[in-house]
Amino acid sequence: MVESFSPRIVAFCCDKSGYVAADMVGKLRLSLPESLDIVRVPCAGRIDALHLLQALEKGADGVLIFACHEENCQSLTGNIRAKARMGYLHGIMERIGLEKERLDLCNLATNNGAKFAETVLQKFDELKKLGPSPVE
Amino acid sequence: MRSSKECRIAIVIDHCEGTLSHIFDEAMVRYFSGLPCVVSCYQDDNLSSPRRLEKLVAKLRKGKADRAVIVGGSPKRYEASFRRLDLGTGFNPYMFLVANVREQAVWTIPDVERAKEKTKTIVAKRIREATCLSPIGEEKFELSKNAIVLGGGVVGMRAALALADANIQVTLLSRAKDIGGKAIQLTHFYDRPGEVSSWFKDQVKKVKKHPNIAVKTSVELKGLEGSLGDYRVKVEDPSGKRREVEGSAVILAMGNDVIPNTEGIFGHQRFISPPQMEAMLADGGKSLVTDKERPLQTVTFILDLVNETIKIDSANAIKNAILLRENHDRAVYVICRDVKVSLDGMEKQYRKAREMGVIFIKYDDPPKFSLVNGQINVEVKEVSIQMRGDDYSLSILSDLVVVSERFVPSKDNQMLADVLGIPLAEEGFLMDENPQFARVRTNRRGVFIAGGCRYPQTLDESLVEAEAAAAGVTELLSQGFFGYDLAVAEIDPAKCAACLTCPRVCPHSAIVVERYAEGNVYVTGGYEKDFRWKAARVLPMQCYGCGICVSSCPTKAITLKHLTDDEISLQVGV
Ligand SMILES: Cc1cc2nc3c(=O)[nH]c(=O)nc-3n(C[C@H](O)[C@H](O)[C@H](O)COP(=O)(O)OP(=O)(O)OC[C@H]3O[C@@H](n4cnc5c(N)ncnc54)[C@H](O)[C@@H]3O)c2cc1C
Ligand code: SF4
Ligand code: SF4
Repeated sequence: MVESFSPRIVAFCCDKSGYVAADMVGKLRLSLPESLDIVRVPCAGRIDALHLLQALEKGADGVLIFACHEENCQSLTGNIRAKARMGYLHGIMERIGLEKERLDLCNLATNNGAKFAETVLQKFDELKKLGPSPVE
Repeated sequence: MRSSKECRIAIVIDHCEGTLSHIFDEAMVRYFSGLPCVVSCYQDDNLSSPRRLEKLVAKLRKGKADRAVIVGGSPKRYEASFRRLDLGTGFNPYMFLVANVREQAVWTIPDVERAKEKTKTIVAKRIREATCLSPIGEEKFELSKNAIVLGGGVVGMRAALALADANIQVTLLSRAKDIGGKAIQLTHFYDRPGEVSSWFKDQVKKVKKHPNIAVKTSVELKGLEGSLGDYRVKVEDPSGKRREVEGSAVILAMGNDVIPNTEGIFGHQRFISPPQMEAMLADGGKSLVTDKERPLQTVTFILDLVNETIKIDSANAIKNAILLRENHDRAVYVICRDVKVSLDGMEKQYRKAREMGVIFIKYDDPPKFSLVNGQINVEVKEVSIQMRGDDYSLSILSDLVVVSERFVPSKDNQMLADVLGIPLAEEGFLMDENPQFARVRTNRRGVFIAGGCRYPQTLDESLVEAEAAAAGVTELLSQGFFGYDLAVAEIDPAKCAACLTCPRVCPHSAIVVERYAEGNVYVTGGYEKDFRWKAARVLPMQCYGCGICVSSCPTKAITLKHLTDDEISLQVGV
């Protein structure tokens, strides 16, 4: 049934920003969808294009990358690499018939708990409208 | 990956001071115990305390488990204590995984039953991931207690003194004939009125006399190589003789360069630079009255034509404006875009200057200058008192106009950035590892930056940097060794195609390309006969474990030991 569809989101979180922000969501007692899976990575640059594809292949309806603000990456260019990889994957997704909206990146800082929750919920609603991922 | 049958997992439930007890009821504990490979289950009220963690480790060692999954709060809660775990205690810190059910389930899912369900999924997943864990060892190497300070300005001197007092042997290298740097030109500081030269001379004397400091002047920097514990600076003396200076760590304090503004009308003798102004005031104002053509009545400071983001000119102008009013009764104008007062005590100085009759004029369009009867006419549109759109153009006939010199990065910055892999900020100054978390430290372990080569600042601020950099070096060297765990990237030389991608993307210059012989033996030195191919190698003491190289390698030759591809794959699955 479409009404009970609860999109599964995999969120890759940079340990220096995204993961701390995700922790803050809890501290602020804001709600997150139960279908959210958080994957902690030392830097957004660690995320391989393969991991993003794997997430989509293994049943995620959407994938989010939470990275540091540009020019503020502890590893200098990790966040920019993540962005470039996302761009590369958008091309592939288009070719195989996956909506680009299923993969997105958000730049934030450690204290952006509210922004983290907002981004996830927005994506959640967007994916709900988009429907389940066509990947079998 | 081990076959999951061999793994023996202990579940450790952290009630987080009772806040999670309603989740960990009997049924939940039973569920955890029934998960594959789980051999034991412990409960604790607050594992973030290092003492409790130690006790737990003692229990784990006696038990059957070879790895543990902590079910509780954020991993950040435990990691500081993990790091302090003595690796000798037999339970490797990398054999722990944390299931963050507090932040990711209990606190973010209001419904208790649903939160419990989510807790179960999170834990089940972490258990699967735990089967991939393998212990990660530690290595250390000796560090001799010596350091190199490059640059003999006040910053270099202060850093050298701090290091020497901490019993570190310092070699202070300076290009100039004598140590002292730019601050020699200053007669007083804005917040330290009165004689500064005695303070300054005292510093120089201390540096020269200190038994732990060797000063080498008139040397030209020719190169810098090595890594933590083994940096080598190449210098050349005036006779062209080259030599190498060794040190475990390096502080770069080469200051910044200045370019005087002498183009066009600025070349006229009535335009002077701030150091010239300082010199005029240094002799008690004699040169202010002995001008033959006419007494110097009106002095105008022009700020923000250059160095708009730097505070030094503002501080310097305000300080000298006060002197000119106070001791010499001259008319003083300060023409600027903004008065920068974000310095300790600067607000007071600014107010004092205004009270004494220094006139501050703000502009948007740069002022125009012309020669009128041997004086300089400064024409400026005042923007802060504009009323009803009136055009407040002012003409100030000045006898002396002080225009700032442009502060530019030292020409050596680019070379050092190239050889060390330190990034340069936009204008070309050397960049901190992270402007928020790690100032004065660079992305290269053991290399610190302070003073004008980092960014031109007033003396007080630069001296704080000098001390911070010295403290950083002291911290690194104090133990006499550098211990690092091997939770870093590792390259399989057999898979590496020597494509040079990873050395280029590594933000910490931690990857070198080496020659390898048959059987993956790493060969040092020349082209031995058993040399087979080239491959990249990670220097573990330089690596920060960010994983950027791992995802960039086209042949998948690189593994990040503490977060392998397998572990990520398991996490992204359902
Ligand atoms: C015009 C002016 C006015 C100022 N007014 C004030 C003020 O009123 N109040 C205040 O607090 N601050 C003021 N300052 C700032 C203050 O002078 C600086 O903060 C301070 O001098 C910076 O010291 P430093 O050691 O970083 O650099 P420097 O003093 O420039 O020292 C650099 C040293 O490094 C050496 N060196 C350079 N390159 C190499 C190399 N490649 N190899 C070896 N040695 C090298 C040089 O010979 C020199 O000895 C003013 C600065 C200027 C220019
Ligand atoms: S993990 Fe990061 S710091 Fe370490 S070698 Fe790779 S890119 Fe460099
Ligand atoms: S990116 Fe991979 S193949 Fe290329 S040099 Fe590095 S390890 Fe070798």
